[in-house]
Amino acid sequence: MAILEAQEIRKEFGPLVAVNDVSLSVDEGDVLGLIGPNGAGKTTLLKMFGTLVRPTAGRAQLVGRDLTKDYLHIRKHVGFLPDFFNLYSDLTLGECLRFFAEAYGVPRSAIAARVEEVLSSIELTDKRDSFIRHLSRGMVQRVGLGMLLVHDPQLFLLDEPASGLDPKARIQLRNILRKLSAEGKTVIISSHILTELSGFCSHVAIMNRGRIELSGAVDEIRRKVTGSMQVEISVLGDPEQAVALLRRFPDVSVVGVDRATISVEMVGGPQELARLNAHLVHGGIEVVRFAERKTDLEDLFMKISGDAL
Amino acid sequence: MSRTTASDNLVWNNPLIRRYARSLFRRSHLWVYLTIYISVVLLLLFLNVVGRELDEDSAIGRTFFQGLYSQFLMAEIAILWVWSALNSRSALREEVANKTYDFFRLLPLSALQKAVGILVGKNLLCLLLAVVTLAAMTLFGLLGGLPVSFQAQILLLVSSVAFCVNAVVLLSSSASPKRRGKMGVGLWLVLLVFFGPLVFGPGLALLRVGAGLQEATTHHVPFYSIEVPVLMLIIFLALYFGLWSLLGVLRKFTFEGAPLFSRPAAVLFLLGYELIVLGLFLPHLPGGESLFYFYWLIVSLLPVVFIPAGAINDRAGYLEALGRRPAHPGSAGQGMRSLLLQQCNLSLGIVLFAIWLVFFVIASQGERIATAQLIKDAVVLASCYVFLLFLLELCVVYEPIHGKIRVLIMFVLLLYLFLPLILAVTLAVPSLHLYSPLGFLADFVSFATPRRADFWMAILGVNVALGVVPALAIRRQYMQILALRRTM
Repeated sequence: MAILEAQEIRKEFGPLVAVNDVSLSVDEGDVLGLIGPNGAGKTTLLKMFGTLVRPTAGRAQLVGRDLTKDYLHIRKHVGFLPDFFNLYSDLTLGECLRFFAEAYGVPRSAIAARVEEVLSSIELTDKRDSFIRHLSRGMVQRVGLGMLLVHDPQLFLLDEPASGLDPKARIQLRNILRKLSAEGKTVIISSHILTELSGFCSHVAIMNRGRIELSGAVDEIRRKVTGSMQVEISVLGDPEQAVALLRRFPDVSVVGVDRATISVEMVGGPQELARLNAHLVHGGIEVVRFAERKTDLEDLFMKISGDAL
Repeated sequence: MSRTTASDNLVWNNPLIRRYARSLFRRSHLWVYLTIYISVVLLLLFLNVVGRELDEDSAIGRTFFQGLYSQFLMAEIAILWVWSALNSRSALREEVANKTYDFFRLLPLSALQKAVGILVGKNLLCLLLAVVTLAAMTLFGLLGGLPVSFQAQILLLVSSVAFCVNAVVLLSSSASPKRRGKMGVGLWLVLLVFFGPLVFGPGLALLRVGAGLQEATTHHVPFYSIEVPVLMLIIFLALYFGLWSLLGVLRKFTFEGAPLFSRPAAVLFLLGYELIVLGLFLPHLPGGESLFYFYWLIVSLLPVVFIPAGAINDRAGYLEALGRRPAHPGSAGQGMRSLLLQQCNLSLGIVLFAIWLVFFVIASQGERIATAQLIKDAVVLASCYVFLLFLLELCVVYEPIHGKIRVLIMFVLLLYLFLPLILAVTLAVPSLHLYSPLGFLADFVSFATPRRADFWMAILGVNVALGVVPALAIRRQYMQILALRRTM
């Protein structure tokens, strides 16, 4: 079921078209990585979905409500984390989470337990009574996520959540995001640092100059972009015998041999993969490893950039 | 199951108020403010008692308590008009400075909850101290024999003006939360427009009768044909402008980046304002020209000049409005042109001026000004106003292209307003002062020769000539906006 459905949504700032008639659908449980270079329109698009910026034209439904008419309802059920933010420095971490829980309508009787739960999930329980101004940037970023978690939104909109963080803080943040993804939360996360998104995005949308150039499930996009699967096969013994067998298999081309590992490109899907494996085994090859090599989002983006930018 | 009422959500269950309470009532902060307050109160009492004992008449009687009442009233005014205004003004700017403004905007609270949250929450400490001060005032008032009705009027006056001042400063900061520092010229202009009638109307009446505080509660001023207690009138005016300011805040919280006034609101505000101003001045407009007529002209014209700037639709707004229009093949060009003319600042300005003209005619009836003279005055004032609108519109359409056009236009405006006055003095040609709108308006009281009536055609001609170039430049930019819209 679609939690976000946008049709030809557009934002103009004077003569500049920041988001150009974007149509996008995000289903419940999807983790969508919004990738693109700086100035592609990612932040404006997220701000529109977060009800911070009013679209110039187009329609969008979030959590079943109209973006422009029911913005208060949407705000209650969507958690938006802006790219540059801070939190109330005059409050302690516990007070800050409590304030957001109250503002987002968490029942009063459940607030204390919810705050504790979130503190534990962002691993900052021991900082409950510390003032926000005494927390490090990485901690504040985690509190930002915690602030969204406290009201358990149906959709998370995260704009460059790891920008400005050191590697340790990035790993901590990534762990929280993986946890969200594993819990089946719907997340739209923008970044131009693609390694940040690798590993937990189920879908990607690639934005450039205000438009979505390509979007869909990661595997689907990978096939669309590369047109083939990359397979790595490790064998026991002489790889040349395996290479000869592989060359006889339709739509397969051997792209490289490195000691006992053979890199292969092939057209097709999982069934063709299974058949190729069987073909090798029946040909007497002792296959040690047979795996599709997942193209990194970075490679994908560069490939798309090369084609489209 | 407990029921939640609207007032619960606005005040008692307002998360913003709770958030401010947590910060303000932290023990480590609270004792500092309480210590200062208690010290000031004790010092006041000590000085009054010692002063009385040094006096020959050492009896502590009514006058003593009345003196204390006045001093606590001053303290109440300082708390509610100054301290709370500073707090209300800083709320949004602190959000911007702390980079929490986006979270504030995203809170799923209604605009009214946010406004009340700031006005009450940010001022919780002020309100607490104001309540304590009020209790002391009431006690001293009763001991001093001040009637309860007087005390009630004073309380209403202090609280309604406090509401008005706080709403105005919050409006000012919501209009430009990202600007920090001193109060801008814009705010002073808004204050002048909003408080103009307060100063010129009942304020003047109070000064004229030299009324003291207690006399003020019984003094009446004419409003149209009725006599209204002057404090009640001030309270009404403060509430009127306070409510409009609050509406402005709600609009800013709902449609960020939108102009302060929507077009209908601009018209409604002007109508209400002109009705109030006319009510205050009409009883003072006798037959013949008078200083009051001149005051009325100035006070009534101020919002006509400033409201278009508050309801300004910028170039991006024009492009956006034209983009929202569904395309009709064939008639698209014509439709877009007429939509642009409807949406432009010139059309709003013309509507506002037309409304003012109605009041101008009514006010001039009291002055028994000849119809021909009235028409001539109206035509000249209209030509001045249209030229000023042209300057505003030039700023709007050219600013995105030429960043410094505002400076040039300000220079032209200064020349337009002051050059004729300077030339009139330098060249010793008095009639030249009439070519400035300021000089033309001054002629309503100057009784000097030459009179404006003899020069109206020449002034009109100059204004039309001055308007040609801006009009052509604006037209050119309108055409470019239409062309740009078609290619977007």
